[in-house]
Amino acid sequence: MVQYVLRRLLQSIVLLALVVAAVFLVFQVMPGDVTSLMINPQTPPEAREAMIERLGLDRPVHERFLIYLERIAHLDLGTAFPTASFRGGEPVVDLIAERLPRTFLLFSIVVLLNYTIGFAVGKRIAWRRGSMAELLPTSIGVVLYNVFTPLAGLVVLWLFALKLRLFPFGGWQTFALWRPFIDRGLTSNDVFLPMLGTGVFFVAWLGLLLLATRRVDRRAVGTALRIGGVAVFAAGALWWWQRTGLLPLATDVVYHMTLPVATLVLIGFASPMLVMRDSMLETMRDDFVLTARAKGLSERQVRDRHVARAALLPIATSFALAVALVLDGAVITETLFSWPGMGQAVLRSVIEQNYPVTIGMVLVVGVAVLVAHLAVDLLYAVIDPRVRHG
Amino acid sequence: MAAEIPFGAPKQVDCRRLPYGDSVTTTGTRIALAGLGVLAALGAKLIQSAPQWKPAADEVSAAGQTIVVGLIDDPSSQNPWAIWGINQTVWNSYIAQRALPQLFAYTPETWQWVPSLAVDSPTPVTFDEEKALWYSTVKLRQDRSWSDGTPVTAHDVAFTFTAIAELGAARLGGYFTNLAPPEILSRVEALDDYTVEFWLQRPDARYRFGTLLAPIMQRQFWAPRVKAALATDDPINTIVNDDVTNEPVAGAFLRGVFERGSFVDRRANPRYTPSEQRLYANGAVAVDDGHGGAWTGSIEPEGEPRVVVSSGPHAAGVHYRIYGSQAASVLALQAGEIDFLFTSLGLEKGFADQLRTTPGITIIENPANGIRFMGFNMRREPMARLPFRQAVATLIDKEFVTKNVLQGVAYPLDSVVPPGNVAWYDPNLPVYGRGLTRGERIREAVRLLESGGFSWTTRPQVAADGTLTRPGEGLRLPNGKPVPPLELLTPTEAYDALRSTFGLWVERWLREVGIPVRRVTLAFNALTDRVYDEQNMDMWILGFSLDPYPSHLHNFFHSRYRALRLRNASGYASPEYDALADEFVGEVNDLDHAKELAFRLQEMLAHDLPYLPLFETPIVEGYRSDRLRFPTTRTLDGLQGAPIPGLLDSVQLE
Repeated sequence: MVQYVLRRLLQSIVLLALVVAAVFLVFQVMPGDVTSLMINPQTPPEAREAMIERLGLDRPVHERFLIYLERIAHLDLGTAFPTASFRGGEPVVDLIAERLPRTFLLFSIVVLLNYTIGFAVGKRIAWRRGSMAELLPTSIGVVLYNVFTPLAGLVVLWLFALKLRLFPFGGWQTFALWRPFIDRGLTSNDVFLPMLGTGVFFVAWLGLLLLATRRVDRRAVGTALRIGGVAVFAAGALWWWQRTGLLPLATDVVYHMTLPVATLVLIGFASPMLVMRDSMLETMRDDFVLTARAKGLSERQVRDRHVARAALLPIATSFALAVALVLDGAVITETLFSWPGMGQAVLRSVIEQNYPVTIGMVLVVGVAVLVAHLAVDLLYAVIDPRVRHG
Repeated sequence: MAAEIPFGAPKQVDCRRLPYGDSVTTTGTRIALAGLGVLAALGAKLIQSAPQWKPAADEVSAAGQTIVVGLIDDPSSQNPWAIWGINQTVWNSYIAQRALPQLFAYTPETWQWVPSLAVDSPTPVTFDEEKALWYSTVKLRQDRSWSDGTPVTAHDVAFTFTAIAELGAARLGGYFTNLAPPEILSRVEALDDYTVEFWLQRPDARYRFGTLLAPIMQRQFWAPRVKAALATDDPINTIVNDDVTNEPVAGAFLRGVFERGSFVDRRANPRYTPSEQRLYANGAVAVDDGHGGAWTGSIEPEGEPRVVVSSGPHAAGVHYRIYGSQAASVLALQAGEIDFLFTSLGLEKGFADQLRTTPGITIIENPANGIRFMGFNMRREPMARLPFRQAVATLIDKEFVTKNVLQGVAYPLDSVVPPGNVAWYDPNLPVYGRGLTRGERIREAVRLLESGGFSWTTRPQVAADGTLTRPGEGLRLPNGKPVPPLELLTPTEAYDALRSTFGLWVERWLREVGIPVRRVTLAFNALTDRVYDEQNMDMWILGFSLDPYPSHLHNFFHSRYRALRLRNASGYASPEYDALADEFVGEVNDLDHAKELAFRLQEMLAHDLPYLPLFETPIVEGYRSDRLRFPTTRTLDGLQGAPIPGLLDSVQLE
């Protein structure tokens, strides 16, 4: 097992190096001189020469690449070029540290909701195959899944922000609420990071709670214990936020997240739902389902404890990758809902050929994807000995 | 492990709870409970050690109303070294509007050059035989102070230019090469607290329209920072990334708080000294310093002022809200979340139409100070020949494309100085083909080509009704050789659909008379590389935004700039033009004479056609007229580009 893990780790590192090399080279072969995008053609040539020299662009490509690799090895992602959206000389690590929490918070909520809804609905519609209960959610899900994301976002903004005035047009803060705190030196990450921490804490708490109460004989008692556990967590979390004085700001972030989250969940829940449905339908044909029924278990117990659990593997894989690939959806959504996270930064850096920023951000995503792949592989290896033994 | 049920001795087994799971369950439950305990303890500890934030008093809301402005892209810095240097973007300019004082400024609408921090016009640029340099002196107002209460003095002015020189104008990049060109500006000295002297290598208009418009930085704040930056390996990187939150300013609004990607919030500067610009119908302008003193230009004011620009500020603060897209910001304007929208290229047509129908919103349209043109590489055949360029100019029906194809989103241009730049535009230029029908244009182009010695294997033919009955083929140069295949380089559709579309029509019309041209679309920087770095092109379509002073009449067309990577990409070389252009940029004392020269230069270019001006797009803007009242809305480059002192300083809140 250890050997397997080491092998997979090594493969991941090699793959990451290839990703970095590929992204770096793509920018090198793009036509045109990148400095032409940074300066006005009316600028005298000596100013351009000075910029080329300062950015190190007068060196050969292979030399630049080696310098870049060396920097990455020291966890230094370099500094941004001075293009329209980025401050020249700003460390890319700072940009990532500024934007990653925003993207991760928004999209982890979306992914969690998508998969929770997808899992819950998927297992039910598979169980009632052929009925309206299957047809309706499937049709709605597929239709919504095919809606063009910017269009969906605009319709949602138009309806809920402009017409009904229920939600804001974007961003993450009601400035009047934040201003007195900003005057005290507060930054957005002073709110985002604790929110992420609260979320991680909650997931751990909930997981342990479910594990601790899963064998409670009486269902009502089990449910009561779970609700109680969640209530204890909620009380503790509220207490913490209340003590910090940042509760109104966290609530404000949640309020601003409502429209983007709702949009993405509406157009995104169908994917895990259909994966779950297909996986359930396949699993339902297995012999152990018949055995479970023969043992006299209720339909609900057969569905939830036997079939759904066995059918979970593909959706777990898909979930791990979805978490890693949040940036994928972030590009459009962040632009539309004015949520300045990683996606928006990647989009702008690509347009402006600010490749230190692009590579830095892609590297973060690459690491996330590789870690997710590794986690899934390890999960498979634990579950299925055939994978482990090659 | 399997449950064992002995034969012959049946017993009750609860199939839902098989014995093999029990031990696992117990262990798992214990681990889970232990985990919950650990988390609970951790939670309690976290609650105990929670950071505590106490909000400050909200002074701005208490002080009055705030102007809320939308931006559709992300400013990257408030640092003046970045904004005027390597990070020179419109978004950065918007959020830093007039934070720093300038010796001189422009008026809105008429773009007249008037004193701002200066008390009067500079003394004429005069030659000092002893020092073999030229000099000019500027007197400063004594009532202007920085936001920290210290006076703005000549020492700040001298420090600013010394610091630029030490850091290196070329290395600072951006506007700095215009503000303090080392080949022009020798040094700047403070003669006393309120008199500053500029020493020049030679008289050059960049002194008046660059140096004297430079932002002045406070010596007390910046001197130690510049010194520290110069001691580092990368002084430019150090200085442009310096934190300027507490930088003293002298504008109507302080630097303020900047949360990147979300907002910039600037509060009114309590120490700001307001002033007033008055524009008169007879072209006169007056600047009132607020203490009864007034400066007037060469024309005496008559009657009541037509426009009064009174800098307040008239609001407690200005809040810039950043949106990710124009769509979201337009909805926000419609809903009243913002009062005004900075869009740099103006509102797209669909959005403008959408806003026109919204009560409380006014849409305005102003010409842009830019030009999109077609260039000829005059180093190559047949572009080197005037009749060829004139024939091409005649064939291109700019009115048709802008009106019928582009549906009015652009307007035709006939001069390299846009008509909106009223201070320098020559309205009486000859225009090839104006008012001609398609058939007449072809006939005239054929005539021009034939007069230049061109011939065809198949001459184009036009019927009496103007229809082209036979396209031209096999166009030959006067020496009988065929015209080589030509390329017309244009930016891609994605970069600029208008230029790309224009290119299609140009290609079509030129091919009709047998000019073997092919449109080639390139990424913007690939195109500029071909044109400026390689000069490997025949014809191309590009565009520029321009400065109010038309320095491009000199540096785009003077033969001194024909070399690779310089700006005279068309290779235009006319000794007569060069002499006139040198005289134009050297005229720093007599603006009326400079204007005459600018007109003559425009006339020569309109005749010689190294560039063929094509079109420009107006700047369409929307604002909440139920909230804001601007002193004027008629100005080159729209309100967002207007030289109204800081624009937002003078806007009145309803």
